[in-house]
Amino acid sequence: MSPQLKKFGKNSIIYFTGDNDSNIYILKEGQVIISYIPSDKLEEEAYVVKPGEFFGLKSAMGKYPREETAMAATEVVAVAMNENEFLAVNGKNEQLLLKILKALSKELRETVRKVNQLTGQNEVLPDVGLFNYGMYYFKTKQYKKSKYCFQKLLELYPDCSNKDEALAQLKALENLISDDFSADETHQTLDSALGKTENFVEKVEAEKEQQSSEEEKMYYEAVNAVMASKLEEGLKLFKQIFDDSNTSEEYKSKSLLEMGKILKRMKNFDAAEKVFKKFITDFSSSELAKEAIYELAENYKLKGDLENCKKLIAKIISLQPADEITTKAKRLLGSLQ
Amino acid sequence: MGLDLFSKFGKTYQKGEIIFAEYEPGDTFYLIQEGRVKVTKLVEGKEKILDVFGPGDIFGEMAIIERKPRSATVEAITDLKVLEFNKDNFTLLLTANPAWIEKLIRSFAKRIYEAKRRVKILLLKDPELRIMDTFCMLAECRNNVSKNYLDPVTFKETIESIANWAGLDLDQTRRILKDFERMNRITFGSGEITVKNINEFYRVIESKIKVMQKMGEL
Repeated sequence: MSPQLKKFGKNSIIYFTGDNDSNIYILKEGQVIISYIPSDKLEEEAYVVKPGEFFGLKSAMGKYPREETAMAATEVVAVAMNENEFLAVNGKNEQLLLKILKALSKELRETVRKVNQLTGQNEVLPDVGLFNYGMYYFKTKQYKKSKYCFQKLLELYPDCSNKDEALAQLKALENLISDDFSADETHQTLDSALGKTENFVEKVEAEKEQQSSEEEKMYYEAVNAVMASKLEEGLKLFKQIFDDSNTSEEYKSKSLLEMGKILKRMKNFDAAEKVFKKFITDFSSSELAKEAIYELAENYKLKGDLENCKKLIAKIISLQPADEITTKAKRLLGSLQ
Repeated sequence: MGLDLFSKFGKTYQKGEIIFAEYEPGDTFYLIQEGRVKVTKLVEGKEKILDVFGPGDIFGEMAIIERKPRSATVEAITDLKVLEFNKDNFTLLLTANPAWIEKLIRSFAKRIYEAKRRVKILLLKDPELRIMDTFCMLAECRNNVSKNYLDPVTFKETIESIANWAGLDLDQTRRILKDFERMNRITFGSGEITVKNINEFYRVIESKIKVMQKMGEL
């Protein structure tokens, strides 16, 4: 396809609000009226496009339905092109692109301001938020990240209400992180004492590192696919990770659980059941096991096997400590009655 | 892209390092040259992954728009090379690389739509309608669901995130979602909520808005 010259009669509609038409138009002759209902008003507003100007660009580039109606106010001649064609023509015209960017920035700024006016009150204060992050990373033993958050907090809000606690946490972290570090050092000295093995060890470590980032990368790719509702693709990727004999136990278990969830979402309840059961047998001591039992219970419910569903719910509720999965299980039980 | 640009504006991070944390103020944004990052938020005390970005992607660009704390945490999941844009180098860098302007245009166009959609939601006075419209918005933004979609739609959302989108407090949101569950309009899964018939939500909202328009209130 290439850009097309299109003609529209007076009063004809070029596109309607809600249309999925993804053309970008450059007006050559005539006048076009763009009408829309502003997000914060009830009455329609309108403006006129003149020759040489664009219309329809925003929704085409943002990939969403038209939010305005374009009507030919006179006889109209316009060039219609898709975004690739638009970029082929204008992709190197940085002045034009900057102009568009500026206009969009202005509109976004105004809209975001409205959103902030409407939501403003409920937000978490930044110092409280940063403190919570620091604590979360601390609890999950991600010490360097925890340190980052507490340091930022004290640097940005030296007088915050959590100051003393943050300082105490940082002190604790110093020991934890330096312990880690000295462990690394001993490791290295030993290696060099072993002389010849040094290179070998380094190589193995490097490969291990490579391996773990590879599996992590693939895992996130799969997560991404699922988030984009590409279930089949996500399933395939998780299966690949699971089947790979080099994958660590952690990612094997995570991937298996995700496979079950996808199958459940695809309404393939029998296959999902098998997967969840496999998880519960193979990874019974994993911290995800409780979640897997919950998933299986829900799968039973969807399948219509209420008896087994109830059994598993009872099992989950009996597991200590009670956590959010326990709450969910109780909720699931409630939905059965 | 020339090496000199990287030597001037480039930054490297190790795997596991934080580029910026949610709530931290910031006036820079980034373009990934090598490696990957994950974008996360703490939801109900747990880390939730919102996105993963790789080479050529930009992040943190809302810093151009508003001076507000970061709305999510970005962490390197591999060793990472990025270009750091700020107020001073931004026009220079963009002029040298129009393709980066295009990325920003796409991002902003999408964000304008989302922000306008949020304004519409937040102006609805009835909290039930707000929540229904939140699901409609999420369907539009994430899955490109058309209004004729009759199958159930599943969202990777929690009560907390829905409350946040709808600008409502957590208890009220929980109560309304529970009601919806009782009425068989939605079901809860683990870390997800499924709407049985999103089309019904659209119809309810449209008809109520018509009534309100007649009565001159929104």
